[in-house]
Amino acid sequence: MSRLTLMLPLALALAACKPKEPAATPPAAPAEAAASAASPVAAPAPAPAAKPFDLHSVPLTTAALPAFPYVGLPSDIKGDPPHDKVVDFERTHVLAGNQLRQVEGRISHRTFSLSLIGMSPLGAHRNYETAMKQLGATRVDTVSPIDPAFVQANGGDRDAVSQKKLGLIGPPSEPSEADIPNFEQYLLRTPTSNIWISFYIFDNDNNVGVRVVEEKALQQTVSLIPAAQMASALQKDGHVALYLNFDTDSDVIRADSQPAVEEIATLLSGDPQLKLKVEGHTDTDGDAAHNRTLSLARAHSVVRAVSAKGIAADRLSPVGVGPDRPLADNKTEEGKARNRRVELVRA
Amino acid sequence: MRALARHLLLAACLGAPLAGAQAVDPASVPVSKLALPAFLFVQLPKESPKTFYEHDVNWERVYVLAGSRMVPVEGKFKIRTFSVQSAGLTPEAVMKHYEREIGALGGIKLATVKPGETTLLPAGDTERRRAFEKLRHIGTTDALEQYLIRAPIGNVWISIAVFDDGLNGSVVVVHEQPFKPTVSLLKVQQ
Repeated sequence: MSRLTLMLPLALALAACKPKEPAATPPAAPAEAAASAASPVAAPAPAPAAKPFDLHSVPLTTAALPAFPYVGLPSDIKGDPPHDKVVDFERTHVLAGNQLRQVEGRISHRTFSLSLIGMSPLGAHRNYETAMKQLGATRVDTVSPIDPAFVQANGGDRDAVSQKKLGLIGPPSEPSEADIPNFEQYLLRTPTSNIWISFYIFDNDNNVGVRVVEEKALQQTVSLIPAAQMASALQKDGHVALYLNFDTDSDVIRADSQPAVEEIATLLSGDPQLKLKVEGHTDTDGDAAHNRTLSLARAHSVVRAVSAKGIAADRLSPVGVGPDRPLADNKTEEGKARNRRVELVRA
Repeated sequence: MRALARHLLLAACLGAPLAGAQAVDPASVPVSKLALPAFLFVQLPKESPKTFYEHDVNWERVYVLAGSRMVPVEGKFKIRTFSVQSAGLTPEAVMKHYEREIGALGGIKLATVKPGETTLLPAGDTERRRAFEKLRHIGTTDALEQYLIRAPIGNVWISIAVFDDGLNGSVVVVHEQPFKPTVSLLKVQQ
């Protein structure tokens, strides 16, 4: 075999496989490069303290939005992308700040090959960054899903964090340059939903994935109860169940539940002697202790919202019941929806 | 500025590298008034018509040598590799071929890296390989010449490298262009 024959495959392999390197731009000057080559490999930094992400830090948009999934594929793609899937309702995670956040809703996931359309990772990043700006979305990730400390803090398995939690096809590639993030998480808040858009580059910078989650609560089975009907139920039964929508795994009351808050305030305004316990209830999905904490936070949230309408806070006592007092069977989606509720109980 | 331009022109005409390892301001290179052929502007040496690896990207960031500085530029990019020794060529003949081709288009040589030369690029194997990767040449490249053609259609950066101990060569061309989005938002839902 000639030397050329031996060298060509090596050259091709080198050209085709972009080696991993630490993010650095511009490249180090010779002296700096020599110094960095001699430096020992740094140990992974300790996991940063998980800081709760504040949804309200992202402004609401009231602009008319494009149709789901909001953003298109590059115009160079001819035909269908290799992976194009929509699921009407699913639970998954997104990256909010430096934490995984559980969300539920409609999911679109599409991928495409960069090399087939002559696009660079930088070009893909610029394209989607531009589109997100046009959409009014805010970038909310503060850590990479392949950051060793982050992976360690979320079970220690890099592939599992990327694939099982975040629902990606594969872990994002190591960024070749500091300003080309290979994972970006955007959030678009609207009065009725949160829309999470993940952009990622994977498979050695060869492929791109775009995953969109439009948060959607399952349709509640009970409609808005007017104040007079609440008063009647409290008189008769001592309690009344209300169905308010909260953001998933959050105590944030969604805009579409503000009418229910108004009705509670009207109820209390009409009966100045009335004092109530505000009980938060959940279904049995997830950790029970977490659900109790969440249900208490939601009860507090309702108290705050009603107090903001001029009702004295000492007339309302928040209680977190969690999954402990279901109204219906938690084995069905309908039953779970009935169990996720706020109850007003005469104190 | 005029003195530098004269120096650059003279250096290119003589096929000589710039004296020392000084940084060069690309804007100081005279704009060529010659009409350029279609991308990628230059032909392979006639003795080596066969390309064994090509890679095209519509818009990419690539590093180029502006004298002693490695600087990023963005635009249409292509790398093409070809045989040198098996085509009966020497590294010097390859470099001369491109010097003539690019010089005929008004291009100026901005940097020369000779085998084993470490003034412009790092000496260590790993760092040197990484530097060549940023220049988008094959990792074992040992000699390189960098040209710039300043043209009305935009800057055209062409670098020629010989690698594998003189067996093969590569040409990297970047035509500087602004980023043009190709991803759009979907239509507003009615």
